[in-house]
Amino acid sequence: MTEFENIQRLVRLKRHEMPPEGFVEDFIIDFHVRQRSELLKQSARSLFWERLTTFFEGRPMANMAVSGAAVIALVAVAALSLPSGKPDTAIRGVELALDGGLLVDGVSPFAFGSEVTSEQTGELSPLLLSKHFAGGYADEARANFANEGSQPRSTGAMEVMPGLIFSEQK
Amino acid sequence: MNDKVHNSNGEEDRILVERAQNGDTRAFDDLVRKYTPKLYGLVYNMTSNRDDTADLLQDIFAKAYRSIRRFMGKSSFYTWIYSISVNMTLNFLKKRGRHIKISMDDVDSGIQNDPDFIQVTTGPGPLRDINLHELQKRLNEAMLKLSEDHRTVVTLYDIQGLQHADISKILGVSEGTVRSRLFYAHRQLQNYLDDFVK
Repeated sequence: MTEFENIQRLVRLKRHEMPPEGFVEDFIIDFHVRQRSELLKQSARSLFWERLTTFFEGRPMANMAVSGAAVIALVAVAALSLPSGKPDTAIRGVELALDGGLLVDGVSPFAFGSEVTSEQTGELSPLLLSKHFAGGYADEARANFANEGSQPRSTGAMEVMPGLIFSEQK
Repeated sequence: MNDKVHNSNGEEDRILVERAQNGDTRAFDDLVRKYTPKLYGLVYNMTSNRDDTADLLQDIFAKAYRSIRRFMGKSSFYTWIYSISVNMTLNFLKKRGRHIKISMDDVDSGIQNDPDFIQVTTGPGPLRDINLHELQKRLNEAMLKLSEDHRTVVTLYDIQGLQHADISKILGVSEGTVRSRLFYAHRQLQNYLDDFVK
């Protein structure tokens, strides 16, 4: 028998060290008492925090970072998509376009859902191909031109509105 | 045979865990009842203190109870609960530092019939007429001289009888590391218990 085996034999004797009799049942009773007292002591916030840390425990840091970023992104998207509640607020995109000078000077953007006034249509009509706002369509506009005696030009181009020329497709 | 026992235990645990996950607190009590003696041995042999062992076991099962819904069954419950126990005990030992107060458990009467005990106490060696209490004290002191990692593998392998593969899963290290730690731990124990094993 090697000396290592002798050591193992000696150490193995430690398995005869036992807890006192009845330990397990007393332990379970103590466990229940502890659970109940913990529930009474803990505030809702500490319970939430404990569950949160337990949930993330053992997960790799990368997962946590991704989860955190996802939560921040969700909150940001939710915050941006909520309407601010002001009635005269125009669509954000229109405001940005106006800031960038994409709309014609002097033409105010419409408030989303608000009615377009005749004043506004008057300002815009030279720029619009369609006349939905007036209850008409581009084709009708062409028909009106025809009725008024304005013939389409033989160059293959047609002036629908002043300043706008569209090529005719053959 | 051993595999059959292991499998039936695993199946029994799986059913209990599933019930506990669905809110059956009695099923969790059954798991506590089943694993307390084993985990008691693990924690006691690492701390050498009965009160610390009882307190730590409460913390271990409280943590297991809170986390039971997250147990996916990728490993056996046995490996899972042992991992929690080892990690919590190692954390406790780090906090405790060198303030160690040994308080020993009683030794059951079964030791008198243990072939190992008979061999070491009736042979021609220095343990022939050793007092049982003295032997227990020396063994506990020797264990405490080991590093925490070495003490863990000695506890799991020599005292609790786990296989290298199971220990490697519980500790999250390779089997080679387990064997290496065991080798160095035995060599150190040999030095500490030199006069006993000559």
